[in-house]
Amino acid sequence: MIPIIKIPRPIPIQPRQSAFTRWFWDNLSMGHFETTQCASCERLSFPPREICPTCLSPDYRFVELSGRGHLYTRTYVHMVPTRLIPIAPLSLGLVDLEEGLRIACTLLDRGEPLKIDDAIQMCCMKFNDGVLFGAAKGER
Amino acid sequence: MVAILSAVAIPVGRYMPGDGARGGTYETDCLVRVAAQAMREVGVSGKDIDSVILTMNPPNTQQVGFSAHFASRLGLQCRGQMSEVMNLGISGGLAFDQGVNDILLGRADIVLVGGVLYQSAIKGHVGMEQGIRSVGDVEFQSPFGFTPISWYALDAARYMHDFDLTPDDLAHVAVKSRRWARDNDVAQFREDLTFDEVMASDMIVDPLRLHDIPQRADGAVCFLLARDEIVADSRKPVVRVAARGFAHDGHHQVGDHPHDMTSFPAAQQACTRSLADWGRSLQDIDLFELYAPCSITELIVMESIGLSARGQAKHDLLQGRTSLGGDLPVNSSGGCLSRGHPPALTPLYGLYEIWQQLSQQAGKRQIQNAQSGFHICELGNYNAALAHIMEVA
Repeated sequence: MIPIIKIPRPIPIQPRQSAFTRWFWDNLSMGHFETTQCASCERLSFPPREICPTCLSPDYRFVELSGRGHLYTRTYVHMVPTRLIPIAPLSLGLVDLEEGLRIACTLLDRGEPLKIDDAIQMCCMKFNDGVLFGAAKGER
Repeated sequence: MVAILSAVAIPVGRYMPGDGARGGTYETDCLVRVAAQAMREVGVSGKDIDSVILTMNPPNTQQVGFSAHFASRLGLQCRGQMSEVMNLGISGGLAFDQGVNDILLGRADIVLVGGVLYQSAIKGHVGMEQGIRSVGDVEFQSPFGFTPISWYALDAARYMHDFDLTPDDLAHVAVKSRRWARDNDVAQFREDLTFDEVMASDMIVDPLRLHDIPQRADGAVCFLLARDEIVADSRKPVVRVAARGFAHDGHHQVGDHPHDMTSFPAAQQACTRSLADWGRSLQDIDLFELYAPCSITELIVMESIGLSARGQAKHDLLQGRTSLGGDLPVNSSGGCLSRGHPPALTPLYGLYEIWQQLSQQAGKRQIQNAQSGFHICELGNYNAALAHIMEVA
């Protein structure tokens, strides 16, 4: 399970959900951060993939991730798309998870800004009308 | 081999009429004028051109079916092909490459390669709506707001963490670029730019400021390519395409497994392949036009292709090695920061600079006795790279 953080406003950009990726988003909303693992070669992919990009197997299973990792790099985006103007600047970064996956997402800087190499805990950001994943400060 | 018969470019700038404007010059008119000039300069008529390969216009261009419309305006009746090429920032390089291929395959004797891009009247925030869809997975990355420049900023932040590089160092890339651009007739920005002005400019995507990134711009470029023996009958020196190399790292912006973002493997591989194709080394090249939308990108590409040692590009910059008179002239056009960056056309503007330098038409920024030039362009976060080596025959 990963923490669920309530954000009391509408989601700025609703992520598109396919028949395949709905599983991911539905589970995220309940605090389960999952992705696919190839049933043939065991490769983990993120985002979830129906077809393994390494061995092309169509057999996969969803596995739950720890959500723990560290911050590889980060930025603040001041010049943003129209729909994101109300929440600019955007705090964004790349997180490397313990399981060996790299994830691009919002950084939840609460108090001190997150720094490169900081320990990270992935979170579910629960907006009024949808969810996204984000990264907050974790424990070493 | 294939050589450049003629080349014409307009200054990178702002030409796009705003909404409801009357009396402006629209895309087809603009490119027809440029192409007609390129054809007149070497006495080529519409019936002489066998293929037309243009960069594809962005969705805001009202005229769809652009290449057919364009060809009809110049009386072209092609036997090779007539097409529009698109793959984000690398588009111009691919169009050029495809033109070279048509000649090598015997499908054409003379090929027109070019493009026009109008985007400057689109407000930045509106353009970013398209931008986030171009440089990320629309389901899993775009909703967060990763803009095109944000990926280079992520590179920059990590590079600064791993190596001795500061925002002050990056500012010198912008200042160096502007010094080159002052003497370039097709540059978007030619007025002086100081270090203090760069450092006082607005933060756009941390740690990149306004002068670390390109501004919105329009442009138009046209090349006529032909076999070198045809070119030799028309002009000297003959500037020919000596080699090429392409590589793709397999990622869309970023891999899903950790990898180093302070170097660009595709740039390294494309460069290596082009040098193998040429049969000579990087030390034999006289000038370098590197597709570098941001200050940090120029430094990382320099290191990735082996022009500078890892972590040393800033020292080569600060020692003046990449400036006029230096032994490693980089982006003598002024690059994306000052020559300007109409993205799909940037590769064609880069090749245009090499053409000007190798044909001794570069005026005050002329690199003495330049005999060969290296050009590289990219898409994504340098996920794919295409290199061309040009030389005087």
